[in-house]
Amino acid sequence: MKRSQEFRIEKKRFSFWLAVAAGMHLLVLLSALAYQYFLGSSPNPPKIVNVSLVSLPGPGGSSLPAEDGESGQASAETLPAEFPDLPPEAAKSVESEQAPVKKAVSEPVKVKIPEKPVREKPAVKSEPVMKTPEKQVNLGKALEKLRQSVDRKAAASGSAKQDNLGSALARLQQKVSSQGSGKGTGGGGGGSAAGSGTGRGGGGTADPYKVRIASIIQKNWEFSSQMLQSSYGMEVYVHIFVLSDGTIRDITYDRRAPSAYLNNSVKRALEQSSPLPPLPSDYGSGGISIGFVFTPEGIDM
Amino acid sequence: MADSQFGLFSLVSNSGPVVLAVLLLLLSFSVLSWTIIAYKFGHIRKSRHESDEFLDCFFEVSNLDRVFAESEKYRNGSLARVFRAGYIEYRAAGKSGEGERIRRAIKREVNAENKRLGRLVPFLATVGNTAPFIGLFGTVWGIMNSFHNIGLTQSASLAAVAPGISEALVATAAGLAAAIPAVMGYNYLIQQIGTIEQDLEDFSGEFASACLEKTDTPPNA
Repeated sequence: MKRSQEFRIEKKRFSFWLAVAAGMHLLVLLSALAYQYFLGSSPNPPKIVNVSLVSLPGPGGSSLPAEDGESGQASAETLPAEFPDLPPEAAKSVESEQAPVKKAVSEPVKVKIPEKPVREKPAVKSEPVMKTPEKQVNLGKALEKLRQSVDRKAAASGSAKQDNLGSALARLQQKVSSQGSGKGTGGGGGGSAAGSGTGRGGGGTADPYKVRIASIIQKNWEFSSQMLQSSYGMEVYVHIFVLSDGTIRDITYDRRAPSAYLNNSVKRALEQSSPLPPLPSDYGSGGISIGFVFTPEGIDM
Repeated sequence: MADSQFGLFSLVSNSGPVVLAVLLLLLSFSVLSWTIIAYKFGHIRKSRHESDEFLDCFFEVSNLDRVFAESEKYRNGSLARVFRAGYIEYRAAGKSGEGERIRRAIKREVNAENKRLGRLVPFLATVGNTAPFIGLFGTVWGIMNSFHNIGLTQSASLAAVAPGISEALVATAAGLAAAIPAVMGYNYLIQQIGTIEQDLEDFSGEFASACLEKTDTPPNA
């Protein structure tokens, strides 16, 4: 009798501790939930370093890769000051020399398939741009003139240098603003466009709106080149139709990469980027079609 | 939580049925382990405390009848329980030549007390030994599924591989979370029970010989 009573008491005590343990587990789980909730809405998210591979607007420096920051800066500072001294043809040649990496598509609606499918080192990419000996002669002349003018300026005093720099920056700003308003002379067109294009204003990579949306797409592009087994033919040519309110209406692949991962990541990036900023009034109300080339190195236009 | 793509709960909710079953099993193991740890901790602590007090009383009071009366206060003390069993047998014997019977009664009570002290404790050892393996099973299953998904999507991207692996690793983490306290609790309780058992051994021998001495003379003498 005593034993059964003892057993009953022990059972009751065990049930009590069982309830306590279950309650404690529940409390721990709830604490974890609350912790994650507050952690998720933390005002100080971890610092993310975003390296933009999209080129900056402006002549000369527009086509240089973002990681090559020093040379890009140098070209932005020096070249515009020199261009007025050069003939237009030579200036174009210089631009094309300064923009060797660019796979320029002056009219982005129609995406051109490059002659070399394999992307090699950026330094090698400049070769296809120089095709004719005439261009090389022009380039040589332009470089010679450039060198002479640099020597002249180097001989000048420090204050004169400051003035030159200031005026160069002013000219650069003027040029950028004129290109943005559609009245440019085609200096923004890089790559192959420099050789054959007519240089219509507002086209090419210098278009601030296009650069801006490329930057947005780049930010939303979650892609790691380490996930690709080979880099052969890893280019996605795609064009999108942007409505006047910035909504992306159509995403059309002109050419897919062999990797489904790259193709899907491009599609996701474009979908996540929609809606883009509204179109500037220069483009009218019908919307525009913009082409991009997504490569493991970044986004080209 | 909604923003947290890799939160613990989103991982659990995205897990497959096998991993979920493993997690539930481990959760129940954990709850039971903590219950046993808390229950046995209180029980053993009380038993040791009352045994110590009873032992003081036993050596202070020379009269067995008075010790028996005092032992009523220490119903949870192991030594007091052994003493009570032996004393009842001693009183029942009442005459000489019944010493072996008293010794057997004390031994029986010591065994019963050992059993009572050690009850539920082996479960902790079971949890400590098996929970990591159960968690590992869940992990292996989850990784198996992620590799299957890699095959289906034909993409070895992080997006395809990482969620499955992180879901799978939750099972191992849960297994370890259940096993570590169980092992710690088991070691502590076993050490405490060992001490009490040692006390019981010492006391039962001493008490049995004292009773045997007294059986030569009448109990009320």
